[in-house]
Amino acid sequence: MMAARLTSRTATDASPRGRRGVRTGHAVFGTVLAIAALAAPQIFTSGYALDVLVTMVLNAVMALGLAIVVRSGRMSLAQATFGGIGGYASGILMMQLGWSWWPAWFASGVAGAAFGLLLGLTSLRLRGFYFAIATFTFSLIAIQILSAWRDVTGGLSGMFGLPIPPDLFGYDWLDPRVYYYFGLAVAVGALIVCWLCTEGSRFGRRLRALGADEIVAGSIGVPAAPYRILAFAIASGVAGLAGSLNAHFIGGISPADIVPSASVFILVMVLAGGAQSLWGPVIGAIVLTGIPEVLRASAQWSMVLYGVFLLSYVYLFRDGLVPLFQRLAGSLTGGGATAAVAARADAPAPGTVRPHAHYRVEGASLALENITCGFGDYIVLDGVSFAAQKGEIFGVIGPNGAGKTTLFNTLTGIAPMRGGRLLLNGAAVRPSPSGMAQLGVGRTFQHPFVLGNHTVAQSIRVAAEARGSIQDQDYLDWVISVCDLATLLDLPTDRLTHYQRRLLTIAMAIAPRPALLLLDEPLAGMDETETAELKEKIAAIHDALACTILLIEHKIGVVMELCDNLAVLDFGKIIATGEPHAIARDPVVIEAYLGA
Amino acid sequence: MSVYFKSYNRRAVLRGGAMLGGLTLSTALGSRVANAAFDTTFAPEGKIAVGTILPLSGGFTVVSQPWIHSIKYAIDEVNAAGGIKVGGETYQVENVIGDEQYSAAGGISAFKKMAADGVHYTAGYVSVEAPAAVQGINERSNAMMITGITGKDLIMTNNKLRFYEFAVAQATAPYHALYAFNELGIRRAASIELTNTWGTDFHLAFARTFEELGGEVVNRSYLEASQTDFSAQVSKMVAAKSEMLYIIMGDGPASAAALQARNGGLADIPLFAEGAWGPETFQDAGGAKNVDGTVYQGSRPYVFWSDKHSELSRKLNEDTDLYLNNWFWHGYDSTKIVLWAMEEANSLDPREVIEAIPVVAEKRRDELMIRPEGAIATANKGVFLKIPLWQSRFDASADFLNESCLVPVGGEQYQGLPGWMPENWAGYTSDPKDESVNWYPTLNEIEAMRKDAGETRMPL
Amino acid sequence: MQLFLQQIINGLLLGGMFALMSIGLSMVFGIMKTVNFAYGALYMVGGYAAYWSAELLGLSLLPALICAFLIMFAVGAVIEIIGFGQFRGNDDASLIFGLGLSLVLKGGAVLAWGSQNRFIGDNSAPAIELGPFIVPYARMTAGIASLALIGLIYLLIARTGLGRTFRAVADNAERAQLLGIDPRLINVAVFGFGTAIAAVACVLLTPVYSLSPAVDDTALFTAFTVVILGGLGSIAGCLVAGLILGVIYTLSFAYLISNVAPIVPLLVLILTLILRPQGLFGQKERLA
Repeated sequence: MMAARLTSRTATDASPRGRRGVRTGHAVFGTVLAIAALAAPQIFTSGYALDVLVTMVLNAVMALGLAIVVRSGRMSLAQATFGGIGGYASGILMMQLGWSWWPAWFASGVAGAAFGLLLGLTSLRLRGFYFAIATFTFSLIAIQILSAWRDVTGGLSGMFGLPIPPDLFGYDWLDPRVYYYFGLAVAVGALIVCWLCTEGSRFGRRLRALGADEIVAGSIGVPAAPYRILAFAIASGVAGLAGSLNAHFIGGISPADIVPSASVFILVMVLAGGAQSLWGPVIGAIVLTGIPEVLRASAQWSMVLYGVFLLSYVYLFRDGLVPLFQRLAGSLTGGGATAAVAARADAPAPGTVRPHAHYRVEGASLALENITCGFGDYIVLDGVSFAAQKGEIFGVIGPNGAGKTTLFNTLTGIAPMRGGRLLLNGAAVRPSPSGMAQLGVGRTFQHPFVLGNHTVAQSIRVAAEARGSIQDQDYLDWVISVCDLATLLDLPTDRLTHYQRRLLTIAMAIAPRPALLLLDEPLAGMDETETAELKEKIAAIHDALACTILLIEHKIGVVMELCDNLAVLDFGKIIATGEPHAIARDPVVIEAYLGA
Repeated sequence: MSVYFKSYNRRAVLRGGAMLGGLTLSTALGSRVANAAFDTTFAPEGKIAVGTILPLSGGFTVVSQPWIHSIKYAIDEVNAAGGIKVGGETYQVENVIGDEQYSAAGGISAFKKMAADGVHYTAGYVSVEAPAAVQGINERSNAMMITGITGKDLIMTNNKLRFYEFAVAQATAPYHALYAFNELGIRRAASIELTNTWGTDFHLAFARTFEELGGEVVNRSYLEASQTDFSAQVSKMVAAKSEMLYIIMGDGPASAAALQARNGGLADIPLFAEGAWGPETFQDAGGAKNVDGTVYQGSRPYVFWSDKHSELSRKLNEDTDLYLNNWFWHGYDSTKIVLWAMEEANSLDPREVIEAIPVVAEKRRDELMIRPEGAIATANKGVFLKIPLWQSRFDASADFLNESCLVPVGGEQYQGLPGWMPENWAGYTSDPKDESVNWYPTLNEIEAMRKDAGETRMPL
Repeated sequence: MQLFLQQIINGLLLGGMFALMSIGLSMVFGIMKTVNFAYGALYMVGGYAAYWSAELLGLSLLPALICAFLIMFAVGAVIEIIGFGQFRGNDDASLIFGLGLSLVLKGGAVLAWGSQNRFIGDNSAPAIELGPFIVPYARMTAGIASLALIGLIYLLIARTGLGRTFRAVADNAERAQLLGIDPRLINVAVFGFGTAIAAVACVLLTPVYSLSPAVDDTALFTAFTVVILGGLGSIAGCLVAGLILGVIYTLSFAYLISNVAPIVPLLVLILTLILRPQGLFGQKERLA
């Protein structure tokens, strides 16, 4: 029962019946919304209502665009500014350069995207608050430039009397309904783009993984920078198109229309509706555009209202309104409860799937030559050299603080490599987080980091796509089977136990069939049964894949049993390498580590 | 198997999306979009609607609140007197209020909602942005704009349904120059202006006459509506040895600019002010010590107190906690002019009503507080009210609730100075971007034009 | 030359005011790593706390200031307990909480108190002439208050036991807990203090900027700019960055067209973010 409720909560990808339920839910909801959207201007016919409807639909487009950025893990306070850039772009092109509407409208999208790209490129390193402030500053700079550039933009007074677009299939744009239905079509397009940038494409799924956890996403080959920049450009492009429509609908644009608070309101729509859910931004835009109008609230009351929304969002529904409604609906009808419980009818039972011979990979050989790593004056790795042969399990042991995890971080490009060479299959490589995953290096972390906002199935799926689309579905069945995850597929990752998380991280690391697998203390925090089980699983994985494994582990018995060779690290230096039994007898090692 | 990894088939989704999009458009277009048929019933439900478009919140409420109430009071009085009689019917007048938000988008969305609800008369507009935006579409909606913010790029554009109901910068600023040069003996002037057409017009109109007289504008500074610090500009004015400061900004940063000028080394020189300065603005600028004596041009009811003042002043103060200002009076009178013009034209159609405004402004001037000298009907730029102003100084010690805060100054020529440009001015018929037009004639040039037009200065 | 020097003086005075505006945020930001988007709104509410104390209780400036300090300390403490304290470690939640709170406070302030400008006491103090240079009285007061407060906080943090406790919590909350310090209590104290300092700043700057619900934007943005430029948590950085920014601001208004001038400080901020996000006095000189 518990599990069932949790499952219905994620609601994005459930078991066959549950998922069918969710899909039906999406379909029913989508149909109802579509009919409502199409019928609205026939029901609310006053000019006032039509005006609100157009604003609503254009806000939805803006919010859908911004949702892409939010899902990639950044909060932008400049969405309305990109809309304004779009409005100015089409206005300037039409009024000053004599372009016609359609090219100018497309150019407004391009202009939005171009400035999005610019801001994305420059503020790439920033996260969280710093990124938000950078976008906020960008927005203020844009306002100042648009105000100062009087000859072209009309300065503070803005540009007015924007040309009315040419008739659309014989319908005059003076009628707000033309804007409405055209805006609706654009919103449908934005919804599809937004879906493609979330669930609907490899790019989207990987972008979402990036939003959930940058480090984990890097370990499964998602390059943070280009993905975020692309996401930002797409979001800004969408905003540009919506902003241009809005400017032409209003008949003009001025710097006052793109103040940061306008951007904050768009952000509120995204968050309040549910940034992670498909319909969230749309519902957020409808609710938050509609309520102040229904209440005929002044700007001040609207401000308070938006503020209250934000506060209740933080306290009450941090997933947003849509997931909240879904939960409420779920608990009212009990729907999905039976379908969603752990086991799927067709899921493989643990350990029953035998690996095929073709799962085997060409294990990579790895050589470290004089690798150095440090932060400031502090040297963590001091000329580390060793080599792991193709297909062997190579253990790295050493006392706490010896630099073992830093070694892995250096190999995967997370920690800076100051000197030395890293050879993969004999070729020198320059490690970068996503680049190493592309080269077939999988890794787990000492702490079992998983992707938030994802289910187990989603996590494995996105990991399996590390090096392209999923080639081999059977292989993934085996991965799920060997990691005992069949019964957990629909659980959100934050509901897993420590052990289950560990299994998931291993499953994610092997999902793309790595040639080299880096396991960072996989047995940390495991009890005896779990240790024994996990040891078996590592062996089974090694048997099936024949990949090279680099293993950091403190449980020395397991290391002795599993590893073909060992390196001992102490104070950033290799003090011994060799076969396990030889190492165990090495007096230097005994003094530094084993004896202690 | 592996059914759990089979995503939605992307092609199917795209196809579905395309179909939905197609459906959307075809339904939309199939549902007979009515073609721009605008409401021609001018009094829906037997009521004439007058819309007020002004900021309901923010830093400009000190100006907009009295204005909003003045329109309301004028309408209440007309209703109480029996309403408006047109075509044998008597109509009551209804007041609708929209939030300008001091921005183009705010103004235009308020206007559009009103137009859609059948409002054909809209008044207010305190920013430059909002009326500029609304001017693009008001004729299309057959709605009259009643506005009083000057600036050639704003009010000298073509618009047949614009009733401009206040003084224009070109006509009034030269009197500031004359007064400063002749009466105060000022030779070196500094000015700080809002960077838009409104500010530019006041500055240039002032500077042309001041320089013709032999004075020099030693510092021209600009300010932004959001600016809070003026120390850099003030120091430049001090360094230029300015003998007066002309503050061309009425709300928001104006009082801060005055205060910082006073505290930053311009403690004693005369201040001249433009725009919405009411008792509150004067107080904000630092009270008696700083702004007592600031030179300002007020309309008649702002300078001379009457019983009507006491009545409305108390009412306004009860309703809003604020005091009467210039804007109160022109909101109040212009509303009455428009409503009376409906009776005069015997029509509710703004196109016909606007033509009757000059007649009303002349015929019923004694019933109006601002005592206009009639109005100028232009070919394509709507109607301009001929409103007189008084050169005055601010009296900080006045009891704002019971007496005027302005005291008239200067000689006869500053009393009831014409706040309009003569009818034969080329500006009324030219494009504001046409640089061959003398947009900022000096006082002498204006006087010559007046003579040619046969205009006589109005009596005190 | 004399004008240039006068502009530098103007800039330094303005910089002192900027620093004063930012100390509260810098403390909270530095010690607690809390991104407080409601800082501007709390600064503004602090000003009103003094204004209404003066109006309703008939207090003069200094008692009103103390009153506002106490009120805002309590308000800050409550906000930390029921708000930011709940979201520690979750930057996004803090950010949104701050945004929400600021919208409610600002909208509410206009609705409750109107948007007209207000002053506390007399604001027409004259300028002081130092040789050929002119120093507005209110700005000098603000500058001196700024220096005094920064010095005081520096001493408090660098030299006293309480300061050591603050620093211990700032460096490592868990370890501080092991040493018997309750980090939650310290956080409440620091947040309350930071909010109260913001109120003091608002009151001291009222003679220059006047008080209205709109003062929050300037305060928020200025404070963030100063804190980012100066470096997270560096009290000295706060002063230096404030002065630099003040001079840049004044010089750009003195020597550029006024509609281009406002861009310069913004460019300084965005370049800092891009090129040196840790600010001038980054982590190296944490908290002192």
